Amino acid sequence: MNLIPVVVNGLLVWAEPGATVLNVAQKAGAGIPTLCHHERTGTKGHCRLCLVEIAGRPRPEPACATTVESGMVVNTESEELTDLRRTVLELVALETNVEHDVKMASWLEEYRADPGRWGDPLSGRREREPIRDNAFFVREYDKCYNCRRCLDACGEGIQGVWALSFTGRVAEAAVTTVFDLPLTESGCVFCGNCVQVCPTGALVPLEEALLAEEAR
Amino acid sequence: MNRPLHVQPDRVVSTVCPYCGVGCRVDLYIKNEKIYRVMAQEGPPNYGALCVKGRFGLGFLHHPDRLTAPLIRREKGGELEPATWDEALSFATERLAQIAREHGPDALYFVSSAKASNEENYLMQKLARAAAGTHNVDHCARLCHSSSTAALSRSLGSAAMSNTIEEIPLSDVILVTGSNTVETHPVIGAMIKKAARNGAYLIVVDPRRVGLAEVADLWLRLRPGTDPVLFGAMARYLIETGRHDRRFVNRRAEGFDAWWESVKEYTLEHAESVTGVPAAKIREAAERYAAAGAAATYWAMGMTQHNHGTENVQALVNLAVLTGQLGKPGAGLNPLRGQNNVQGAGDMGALPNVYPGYQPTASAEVRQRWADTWGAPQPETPGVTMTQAFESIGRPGGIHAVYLMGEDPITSEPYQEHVRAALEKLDFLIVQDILKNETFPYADVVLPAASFAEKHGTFTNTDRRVQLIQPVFDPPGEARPDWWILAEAGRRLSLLTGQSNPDTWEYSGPDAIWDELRRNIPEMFGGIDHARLAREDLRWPCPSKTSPGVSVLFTDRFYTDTGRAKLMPAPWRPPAEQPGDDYPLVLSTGRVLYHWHGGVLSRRSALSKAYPEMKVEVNPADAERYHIADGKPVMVISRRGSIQATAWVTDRAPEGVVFAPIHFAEQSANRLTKNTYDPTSKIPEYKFAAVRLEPLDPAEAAAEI
Amino acid sequence: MDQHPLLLPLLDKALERRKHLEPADIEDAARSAGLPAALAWETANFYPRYQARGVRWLLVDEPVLRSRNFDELLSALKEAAVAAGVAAGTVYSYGLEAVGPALVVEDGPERRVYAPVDLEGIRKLADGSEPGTLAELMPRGLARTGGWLLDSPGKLPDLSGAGGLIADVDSAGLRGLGGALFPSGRKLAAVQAQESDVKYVVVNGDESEPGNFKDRWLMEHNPRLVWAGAALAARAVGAKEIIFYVRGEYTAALARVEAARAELEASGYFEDLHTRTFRGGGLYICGEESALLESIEGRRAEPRLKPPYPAEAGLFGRPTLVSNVETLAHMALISLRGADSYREYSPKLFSISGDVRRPGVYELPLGTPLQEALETAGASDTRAVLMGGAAGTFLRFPENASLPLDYDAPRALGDSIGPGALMVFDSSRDLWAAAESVTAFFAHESCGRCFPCSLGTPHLHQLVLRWRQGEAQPELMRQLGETLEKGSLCGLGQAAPWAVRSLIDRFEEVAR
Repeated sequence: MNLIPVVVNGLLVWAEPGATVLNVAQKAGAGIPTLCHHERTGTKGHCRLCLVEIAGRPRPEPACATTVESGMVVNTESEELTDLRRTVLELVALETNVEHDVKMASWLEEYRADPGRWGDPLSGRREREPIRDNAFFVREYDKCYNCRRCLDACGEGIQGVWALSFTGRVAEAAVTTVFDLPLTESGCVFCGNCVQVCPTGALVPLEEALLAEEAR
Repeated sequence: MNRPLHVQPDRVVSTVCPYCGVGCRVDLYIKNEKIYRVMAQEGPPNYGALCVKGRFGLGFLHHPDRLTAPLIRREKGGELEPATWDEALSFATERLAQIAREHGPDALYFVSSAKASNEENYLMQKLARAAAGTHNVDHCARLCHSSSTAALSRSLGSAAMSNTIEEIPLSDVILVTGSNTVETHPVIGAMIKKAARNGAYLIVVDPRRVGLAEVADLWLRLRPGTDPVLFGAMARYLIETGRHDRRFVNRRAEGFDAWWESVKEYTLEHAESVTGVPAAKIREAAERYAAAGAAATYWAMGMTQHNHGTENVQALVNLAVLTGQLGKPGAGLNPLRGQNNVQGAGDMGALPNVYPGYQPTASAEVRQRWADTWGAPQPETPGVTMTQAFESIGRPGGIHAVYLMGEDPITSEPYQEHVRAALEKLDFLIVQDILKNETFPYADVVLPAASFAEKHGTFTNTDRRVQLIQPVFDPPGEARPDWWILAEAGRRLSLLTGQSNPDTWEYSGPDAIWDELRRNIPEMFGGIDHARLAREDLRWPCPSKTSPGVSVLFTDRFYTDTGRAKLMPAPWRPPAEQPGDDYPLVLSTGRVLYHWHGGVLSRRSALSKAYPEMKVEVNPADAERYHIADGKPVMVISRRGSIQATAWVTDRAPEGVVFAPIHFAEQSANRLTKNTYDPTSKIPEYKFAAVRLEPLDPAEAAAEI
Repeated sequence: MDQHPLLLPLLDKALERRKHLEPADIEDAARSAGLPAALAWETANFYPRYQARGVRWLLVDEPVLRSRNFDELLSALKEAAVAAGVAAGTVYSYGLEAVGPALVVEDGPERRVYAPVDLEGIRKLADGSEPGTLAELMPRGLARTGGWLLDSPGKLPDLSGAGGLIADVDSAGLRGLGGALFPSGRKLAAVQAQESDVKYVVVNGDESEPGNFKDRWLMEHNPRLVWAGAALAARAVGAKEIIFYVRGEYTAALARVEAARAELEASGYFEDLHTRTFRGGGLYICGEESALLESIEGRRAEPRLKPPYPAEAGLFGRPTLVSNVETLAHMALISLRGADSYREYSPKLFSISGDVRRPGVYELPLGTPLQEALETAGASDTRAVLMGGAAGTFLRFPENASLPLDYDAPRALGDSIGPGALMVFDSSRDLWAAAESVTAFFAHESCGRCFPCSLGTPHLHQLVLRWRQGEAQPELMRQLGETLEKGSLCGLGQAAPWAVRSLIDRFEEVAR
């Protein structure tokens, strides 16, 4: 395969054609935050944390959803990108329970995020109660960012079951089951591939939830 | 730990899922010596995916029914009493030696386990052949894919998947028959579904509306037990219309004339009348399969567990050979193996007719080689199959003693009453297992074994991938790894029988056992060792240290004596027991998503909460005819016994067919099944028995309807 | 067309039968459409008409009304609703800014629209009387000028002339008049260049942005011209099928577009082209071209990542020309009148509302100075113009009196004519009230896909509310604006902060 030249933060790197900018930039050592993207499920482009500047493009592009091109000049760090990522991180952390997301915690610190400067949460996310409707895993949607990895794992990306569904718009948009049914009636096959890909701890094995409860 | 965990683990251990033959790689998260989370690894074979059993079904490891101390029943009718390992092993080997002295070594039978490691299977067959001096060894593949093994071995010279899981996205056409893949091999099932979404043409041949049938481009709902006619007719039609791969047949196959003679009457119209599938659909399937750049065939028990199981598989083999759908990526013949290490158990020679590496016991040269290796003269008398062995108990020249490793014949053999009677007649029974099972009460010695999570070793998955396992926990109580028990038993039995050199039973661990076996089957395993497995993904054949293993088999030759694929007639014969007036329905048995085989593992885990009780699938038309109401108790009755179950009225089952899962020992489907066998593979005919249905409470049923 | 019937029409059929949807209806529709039930359900959940239950009285919230007596009308409406025991609320633009205030009486999936309504009318609602003039159809007379687009075309262009269309459109200088102003010739050429045996032309009639109503007028009063343009475009790019996507709430437009289609089809005008009218989902986001395609395919109208652009992989993955109603009408005119005479005149429709004596649709030559446009409509004492629509910017007046209303001059200032909305505010109006309407609109219409927009638009609205209460946080507003503009996936979020930002940048006297 003929590798193609790409400049990442001033550094010339050789990338495989078809690779994503995210992949190439990470290999070049750039620390780009990313929440929604998942190789296996194909989820991409929702969280916008991995936006990078690409020379000649009018606005930042999501690195996870952009394919490298020969001669592409990519910049993953700038004041503007930092501000942008900080704002998104702050809004996520303001609206969502991020207590189990260790990556989020480190980014909040790295970006000196101050979620409180936006005032009170506007969505009802944090008020969502855990849903314990099956023998295998618990859904704690107060911790859900809408990255949609679970939806893709359940449907197109891996399992082809489509037990999970999506509802609502704006900040109240949320993952749910088909017809809001209990998982046990939703066609779910409990493969747990949604738990596997969940980056926030919103989906948690029952055994783990029980252990955590014991510890509290 | 970069994961959003609610609980930080004490440790995370990488190993292989113990359930099915996909061989998913998993990371087990441990806290307070319990597994609380199972994560799939991102690489092959499962690429980040798991099913409910691997993800949430490992609770059996911590179940109170785990066997924790050796037990001995000192005399028949007595109690099982705790014993030391030394007492138990002495008692066991002395009784085996005594019976061998009295009745000859062929009065002993050794049942190996497709749940145990390669190393352990190797030792079990070595125990039989080297220490006891008999080829009487077998494992549960007898009950699952022996028909595949028979047909594939004689035609192609290798009985494994010819292609690999990672090739699923490369297939243009995928033919799945006799496999409820989304429930029995869920990770592969999901991959096939995804391939179909991405444009592969999916043909499903199955009497039941299985999960894949619902997403298939073409579903051939044939009558149970008519497969060879369907596949024979497809092949005949392709030849007749010149759609086969003439060049491939000319260059790489033989036996065409005899085969062609055998399908002369299998016209599409004839096939329609026998199978019930419209001729146009059979034609469409044939054309699609033959025209595909790469067409892969997947099958499982729906093909093999018939009295013509070998012919079923042979018909698939013939079809693939005639269309050249072999020896290229994305094509091939792919039996989906059930148990996690059923491929390995066969590879290791836990079979009555072959040594490790499928070297035939019939060959004097082969026998001599193993005699030299083990320092033990090798018997000439061929071994008998497990099913034959159980049938022979109590008969002249029959089996007197059985050593079971991880096998529960009461639930797994057909015609349960018959099996119970046989076990009662047995002189001596060793049960070596991790959990109490249904056969346990018949044991004279119970040897508590370590589970997959408590030992080292290797499993070989359905696509020939050899994978390392490693201990997660210490074994409970006195339980020991099977390899340790077998090596001890081998050493002791050797001393008693004088058959083999006791020194050949000294092993420092599973890696030493592996090294012994790979030296003796270099063409398959020469390049694979435990150290390499810790670093690399390897599959057999892997003849050298530099080989990554071969993915696509048969690219230039078949592994037969001539190097050519052998076409063979696959004549159909009707199932042994036809439905009639008293027993008007056909019973088919199999598995469901949430359970595993005899239920010993899955019913001792969270899985039982999702699927707590026996449900039989009844077609709505039959339900109406026999006054069966959905969700109500029903009796399923055959000439051999009856069971109670909950009726699930659904068109998943075709009219005239009742489907019963096999996982519920207390209402075992094998009370109903028939002990008739395929004459070639000796597989029981689990997929066909005549039954009738009765509502448990006819008055209530009448009121409901 | 994809081998399955489309989901939304299936759901609509079920809705007609039962007035609401049961899970079984959605399952049936999903099966027919070849979609998993979970996807059909999330689609049904997304579009408002599939969840509508019971009677609701909804005051139409738009910037012009907000700057006037919106609060007074709304509290009267709520009072009346309490008295009548029905629910009351607001709903966003119905394209009636020129005849507002507008009120929607929703009864399940059915809606009646009244405009104008007044305080008196609203108070009488509780007695069961009509609150004002029924306004299902936009008055034809709202076209305040004649012109190429606003007069009946008479003879339609011959489809055999489509061969030169792309070159003519190119030399005519036409741009996409849905607001993006992308050169139309290039878009046509991109679709034409694709090798595919199936291509589509999709007419974007999802005009939903406050302040814009010229597409509505065209769909209701001159739909033949639009169909003709679409047919020419289809011929030019090699498409065999045209789908005319009409905004879900515009029932009269839907009927008129369909009637024109049927008439043209009966006359043989379409030759072998397949045509169909499609009732849109009824949300602003449906107007985003890729979201629009998603909604035709039976999904939530969420914008797709680009590339690939619809020209390469559009409807059902096929090359697709998605073109705005007015743009296609222009293509028909270019074909009828020739590129040269078109370029000489360069007509453009403007939707002018607010503090003008004659609000309505105006056909003016591109480049008409702002002052002249406002004078034509009868503006006086103008202090600000919200140009473009909700996704527009506030311009000071008279400081920008001479600004030519063309494609490029406003852009030099960071503005755009967009689809051509001019919302006029005189010196008595509260511009922050108008801005509040704009931000509330975005915070309602964001689809929920990308994080900056789904989380940011409500907070932008919140910042405006706080500002109006005296707590000005210009720095937060600017940062959030940047995040929305640079970070959002599609034009909706990207444009959401423009109006507010222009207000704080340009109107120091109100930016406390």
